[in-house]
Amino acid sequence: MTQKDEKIFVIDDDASVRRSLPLLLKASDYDVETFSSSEEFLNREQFNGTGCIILDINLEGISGLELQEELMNKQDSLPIVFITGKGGVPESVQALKKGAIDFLQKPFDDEQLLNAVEEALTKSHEIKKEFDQLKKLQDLLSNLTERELEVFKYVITGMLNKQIAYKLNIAEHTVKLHRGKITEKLGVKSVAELVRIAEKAGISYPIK
Amino acid sequence: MYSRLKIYLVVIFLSIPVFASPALEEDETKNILFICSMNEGIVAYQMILDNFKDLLLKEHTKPYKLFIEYLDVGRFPDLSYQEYLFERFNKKYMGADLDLLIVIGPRVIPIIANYASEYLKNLPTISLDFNYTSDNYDKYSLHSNTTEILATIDAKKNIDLAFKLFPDYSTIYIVSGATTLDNFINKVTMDAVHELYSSKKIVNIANIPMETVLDRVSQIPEKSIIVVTTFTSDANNVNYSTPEAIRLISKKTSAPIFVLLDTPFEEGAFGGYVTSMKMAGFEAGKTAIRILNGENPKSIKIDPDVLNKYVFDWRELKKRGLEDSELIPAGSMILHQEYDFIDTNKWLISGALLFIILQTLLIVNLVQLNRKQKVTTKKLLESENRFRELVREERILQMGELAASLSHELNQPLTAIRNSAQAGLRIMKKNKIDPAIIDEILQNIVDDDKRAAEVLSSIRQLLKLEKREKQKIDLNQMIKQVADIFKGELIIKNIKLQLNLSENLVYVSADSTQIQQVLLNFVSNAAQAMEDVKDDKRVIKIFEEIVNNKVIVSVRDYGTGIDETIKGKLFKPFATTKEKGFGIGLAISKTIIDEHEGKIWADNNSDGGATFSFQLNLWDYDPKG
Repeated sequence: MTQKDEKIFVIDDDASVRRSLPLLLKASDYDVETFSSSEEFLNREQFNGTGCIILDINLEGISGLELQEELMNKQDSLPIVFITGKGGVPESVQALKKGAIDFLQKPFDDEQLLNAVEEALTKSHEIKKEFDQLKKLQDLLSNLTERELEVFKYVITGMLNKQIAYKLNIAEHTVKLHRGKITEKLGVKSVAELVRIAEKAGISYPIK
Repeated sequence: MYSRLKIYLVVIFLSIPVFASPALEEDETKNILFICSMNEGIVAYQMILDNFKDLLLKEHTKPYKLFIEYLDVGRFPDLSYQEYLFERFNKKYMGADLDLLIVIGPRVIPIIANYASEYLKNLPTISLDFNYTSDNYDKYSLHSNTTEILATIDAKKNIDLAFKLFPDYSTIYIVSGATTLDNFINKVTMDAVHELYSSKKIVNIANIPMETVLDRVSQIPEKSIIVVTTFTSDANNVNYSTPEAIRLISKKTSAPIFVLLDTPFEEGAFGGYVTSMKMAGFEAGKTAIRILNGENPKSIKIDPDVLNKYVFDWRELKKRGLEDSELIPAGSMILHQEYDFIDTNKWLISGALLFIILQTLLIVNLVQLNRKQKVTTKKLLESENRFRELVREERILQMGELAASLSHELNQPLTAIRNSAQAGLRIMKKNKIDPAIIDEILQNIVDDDKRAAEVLSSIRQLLKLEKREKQKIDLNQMIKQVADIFKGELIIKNIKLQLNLSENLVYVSADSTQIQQVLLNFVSNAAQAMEDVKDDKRVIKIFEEIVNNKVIVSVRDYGTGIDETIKGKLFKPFATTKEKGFGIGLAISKTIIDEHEGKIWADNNSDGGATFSFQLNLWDYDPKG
């Protein structure tokens, strides 16, 4: 069986839950992997597909909330559906504030869980799509030479060629040439498009 | 996972300390209603009530509650108003569980006869009144339930006393107010002087405005006697009290003021043969105790003479050089006496002085010691209270944790069972049935169900593991300890706890802490059941019955009673209607009592609330040891 690029990860320290939850998910044709602790999940090899995590909030060692915090640092993190045996309101608020999809109290209904999983997967696809776009942009930007990147940073501030030439202490004509190369490499036609790319890629203007 | 549970249970059984408890009230509070004819603030009432309370405090250890109503008939004689008042009283005291009615003052009896409810009329009653006004009550024939205390105003003895003490005084002024009562007593007094001393000059100052009274009093010549009878209002309908009038009068004259009642002695009265309101309070108190102890009110007779006394203000006597007079009748009550030691006991005093100085040193030392000890005792008491409070809180906390932990333990398998079953349903719907998967699902369900059952049975098993040696325990002592643990909480919740225990020692063979646990659970449930009950109904009663070598301990409350839906499974785990809690307390209690070969049961009371009981075998005393 080839590895699907969509997966649901169940992290719960209770063996009964680890046995039964996958059955329910598999009955709805999801691919499931289970873990008994946060540490075990973190030791798994990098997963690049879409999916979500069903996470018990009361875990020994790294708790559910701590794991959420850790995963949030990654740009392509998987959405999380929390499950809990003894749900405290403050915990659920904290979890949801930090972007969790849902906070389900055990025992929960299959509908509830599957709806949350569906929502999480949709979100995961969005994240994935955005992440892929970003990667593509970054690839394109990496084709620029150092000088071209420099010119690029000034162009997006709206400076005229003459001003850029003065700033970089080069001929206006040279600036024109770099500009042509940049638009060619990035496949764009207007300054507006360049600005959008810069914003997406997180390139900041040199403020001097 | 189960080990957590086990620890909680062990802690619960170990954490009931044993400490001595003070005796608790064992009987019901007595409720006494006073109905006074006049308005509040009359000195006579204050004296009667103060001395009544004093006596009850001294002689009567049971708690009592006083309710006091004033009819104010002097100022508001309109009977329709009295009728209206009684409509309210009748309603107000309908459910007050009164034990005694005490009526004070003229005109109350006929009003009660006409307007009071049967309930009030049938109460055991003490009637405190002046004898001449009560003559009019014959037609209301006092109820068979009434003790009469009749005060007599003896104007004759008063006048007689006055002229004995001041034989050469020639004029007597009789001062009275302007109400019917004032006029009546004025007449009685005037008649008495006429009869006894026809040779003396008698001046009547009555039925006029206070201003005129004071004006005339200020012009009274020397060698005159004043008798102030009663002064409840002047001719301008301004209300006074007799003590008030005497205060005003005494400022205007130096003549000795004789009085008929002992109410004005703070205000400048000289003395008199008085009807003592103080004694009236005492007598009412004594009678009340007798009636509350079950004596028939009608059979109690009070000699009116006990209320009458010779009373003098020592300061007034001294002013006139009469403080050592032989004319003062023996047995007189002398008020405000100041003793002049130096004059009378010079030698004794100088000898004693040295002794006193020495003793003072000793006393100072002792006082310091005593103070230190008091501080220590107080601290000890405080720390004991804190400790008790902690024990109670800890216990509640542990119960809560046990419940939370159990809840979590049960939640996991329940979640798993539901997940598996719903997975099965989804697979069935899809018609893609893989027997291996169905097998796995069913196996999971069976496993998880077993796990849930284990959680439940573990509670019982753990209790059995905790089985400890049974000892001879003093059941009453133990019940008092439980009462003590709850003391603070019950005060906060405004619940009265009444213990009605056997007077003899009751010994059972039991594990003290476990039986305490059962009782704690009963009391705690009772307190919770009464959360929405009216304040005066918040009572928990613990009582004991001994039947055929067995003792039954019951806890009765006046709360909401046992819900019919859970009545049958009350002692099974998790049967509860409470929002908080887990319904495990009674199940544990049953296990404990079963372990002691006893019985446990509960039922709703016909008059509200529920009673929970357990029965244990009495300690089988074996003479061979």
